[in-house]
Amino acid sequence: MNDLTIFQEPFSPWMHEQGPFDDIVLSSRVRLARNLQRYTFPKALSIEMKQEITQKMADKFNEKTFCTDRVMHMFHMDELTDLQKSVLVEKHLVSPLLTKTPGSSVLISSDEQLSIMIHEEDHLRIQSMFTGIQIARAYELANQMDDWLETQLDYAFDENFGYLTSCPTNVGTGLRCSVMLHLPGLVMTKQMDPTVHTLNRLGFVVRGIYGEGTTALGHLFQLSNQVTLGKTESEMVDELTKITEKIVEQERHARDHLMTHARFMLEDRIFRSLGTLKYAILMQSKEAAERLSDILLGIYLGFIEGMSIQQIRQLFTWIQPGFLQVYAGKSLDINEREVARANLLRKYLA
Amino acid sequence: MLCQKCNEKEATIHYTNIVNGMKVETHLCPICAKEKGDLFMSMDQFVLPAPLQQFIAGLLLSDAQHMVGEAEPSTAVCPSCGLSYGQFLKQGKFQCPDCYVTFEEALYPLFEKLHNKNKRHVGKIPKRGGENMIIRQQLATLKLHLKEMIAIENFEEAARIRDEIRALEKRCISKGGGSDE
Repeated sequence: MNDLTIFQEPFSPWMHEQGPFDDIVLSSRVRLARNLQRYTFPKALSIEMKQEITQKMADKFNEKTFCTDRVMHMFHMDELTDLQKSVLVEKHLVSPLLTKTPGSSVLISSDEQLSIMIHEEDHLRIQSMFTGIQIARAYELANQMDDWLETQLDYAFDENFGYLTSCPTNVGTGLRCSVMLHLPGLVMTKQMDPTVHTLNRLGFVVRGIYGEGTTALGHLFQLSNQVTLGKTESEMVDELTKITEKIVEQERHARDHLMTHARFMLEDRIFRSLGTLKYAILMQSKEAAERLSDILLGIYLGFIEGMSIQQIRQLFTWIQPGFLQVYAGKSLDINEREVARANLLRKYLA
Repeated sequence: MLCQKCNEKEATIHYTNIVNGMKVETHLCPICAKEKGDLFMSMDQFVLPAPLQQFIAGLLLSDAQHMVGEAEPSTAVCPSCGLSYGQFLKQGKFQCPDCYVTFEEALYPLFEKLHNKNKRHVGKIPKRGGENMIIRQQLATLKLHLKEMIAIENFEEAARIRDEIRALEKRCISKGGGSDE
């Protein structure tokens, strides 16, 4: 990876790999929160101390590599342009908080599958992403990195409380597993609210990816574990995997049901969306996400041919503000972005 | 109603955000809503949303009120970073690893609430400096197995586990008892 590809390519290399159930589960991600002994947590840490830790990390990765085929590249937030920062956020390689935190950095592997945020809410946040339901694989990779790091650094750890984190919601394993789900079937059959209710009771959190509660934009949801204390990592991984498989089963069932009972309405909706995307002159990000969601469903149901789920997923990243500006090669205000977004979609779907 | 963001124009767009079952209503004018629309797209999922943070702070406070009468509310201040228990309640975040030791007693009831009645870590232990902790964790698991085997009268397996426990206990002692450093 050179700096160019990471900031130019909307699709991370790992996204090209196919994963189990990736027609419904767009991706699996795990994150491990870790802190170092003898330092206050980043929010209360001076810039000098932050630099000391960052330098320590840089040295470790210069001296040795934890794995030869995963070279880690370091980027300092203070040295990146606003556009570069939004690109990293849109690719989910860093959180918005990291880009706003002075003295923060990130290490990213060449395939963009593994990253370590430095000085976000915790000193280190190791994160790994895979396509489809592959939570176990994602954990395995993050855990390998963690195993290697713990031979190099002294972690803040307590026998009773486990890994000590800035927020009490992460203490224990520091592990947050999540999957990104595309659930138009459950939403359209009005099954989403009861599903969310049940999941909450089981200790899982469901959020609309684009922040709209249970009527999430683009029917995209993130499901993650809430509990991080009192369970082993493998229990947590297994639980989320099983729950996700169950939801996939229900989503397929809902889609079948819609096809049997409302086929024409469904087909009409999907082709209207395709038409809009192909011909609109202005396109807001919200509408684009909703229409693209219909296209994804249309491909799944076999209404739309000649396009792949992967291609449409790529568009979800392209239509975001940062990438639109990369694509246009200049900065765009909000109105210009609507034009650019519509242009891009028209060209791509023509 | 005025727009919550600019406080100037009439709010015409109303939506409800549900985070962890908590309803948050937002009222915006079309211009601010448009901006927010773009923001939605770059929102990351790992950032704790503000309502959840308030929720945690709420839990902490209700805990503190709860404890009045049972034990005096902690006036402790973390010797390493200077965070007082009151500040911790307010921000819902710790400031350094030593805060956990300072506020230890008050944390168990909170963690039970946040982590579905769990209050002790049973997961991974760092190998460096944690050898004895790892052995103690293995011992706890083995002792549980031993009980299970005895319950189903599998004495052969129980005897094997008992020997394993003894061997581990010896290792733990030879490593210098309770020290984990």
